Amino acid sequence: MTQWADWFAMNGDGVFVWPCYIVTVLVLVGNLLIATRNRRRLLEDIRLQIPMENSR
Amino acid sequence: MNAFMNWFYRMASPPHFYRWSGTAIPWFLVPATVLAVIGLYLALVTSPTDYQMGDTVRIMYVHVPVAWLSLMCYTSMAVASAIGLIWRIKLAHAVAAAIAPAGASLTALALFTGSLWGKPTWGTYWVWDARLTSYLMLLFLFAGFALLRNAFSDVQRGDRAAAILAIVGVVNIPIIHYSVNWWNTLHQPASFSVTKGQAGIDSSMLWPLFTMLFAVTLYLVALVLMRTRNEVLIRERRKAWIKEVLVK
Repeated sequence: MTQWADWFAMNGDGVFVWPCYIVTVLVLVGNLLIATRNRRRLLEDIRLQIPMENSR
Repeated sequence: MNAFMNWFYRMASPPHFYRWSGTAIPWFLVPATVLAVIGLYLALVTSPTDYQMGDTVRIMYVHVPVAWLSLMCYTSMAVASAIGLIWRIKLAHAVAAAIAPAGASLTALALFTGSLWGKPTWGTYWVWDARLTSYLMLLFLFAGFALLRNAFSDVQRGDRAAAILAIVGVVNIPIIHYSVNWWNTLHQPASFSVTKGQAGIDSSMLWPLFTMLFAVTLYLVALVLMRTRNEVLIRERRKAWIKEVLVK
């Protein structure tokens, strides 16, 4: 258990190291989620626009 | 040459691109995830601590890949912009537009991780030295590109204006790269160089670094493909081929 705690603490450097890794992972994954959400919205918008154009 | 140009134009046609990119994305995303898991293990568990920097050296395994690739993003964005301007290929502008936010996020990450590395090693989060200042300009260039592109109601005009900014801004790339040699910066010069080899860094640190670099590279290809597909959907939404996409 102390082994894990030691590893996590990184001799006091953990406060600098962990935020770097956590924020990087969050931003990189966030980029993918945003791209996926935008794609879903765009396809929905296009779907709504097609029947209107056909009825004209 | 003609055969190549024909192939190039065919791959760059929006419907064709939309189809092949959809198949290609998982082929980049899956290996990227596997490499990232291996890279994180090497970086956080097995790699040694530095005799001067201690455990903060582990910041290198995220800081260096995102910083390198942000420069690569900018260069690719400028090349895509130039192709779009010269050959009037719409897809090239879509690629440039897709790269900008990805590059901006990597630049922000490099600044963030760099300042968290600076505090324990230099005693400060930020200093206005040549490397850090020229690198901050990169973030403004990415942001300027996106803002300029969105400032026009006409997509094509926005594309062209932003493309010119991207090409002019390329001068900043060699400035960032050589800033550590040209000026006396607090930021250290490169530890690794393609021409001089790995002299400045041990292989126990080089492996995690390269694993992370490849992981983020593959991730970026996937992200840019995903974002380019969205750009294609925006630009082509009134075209007939889009209906085929919706049926699936």
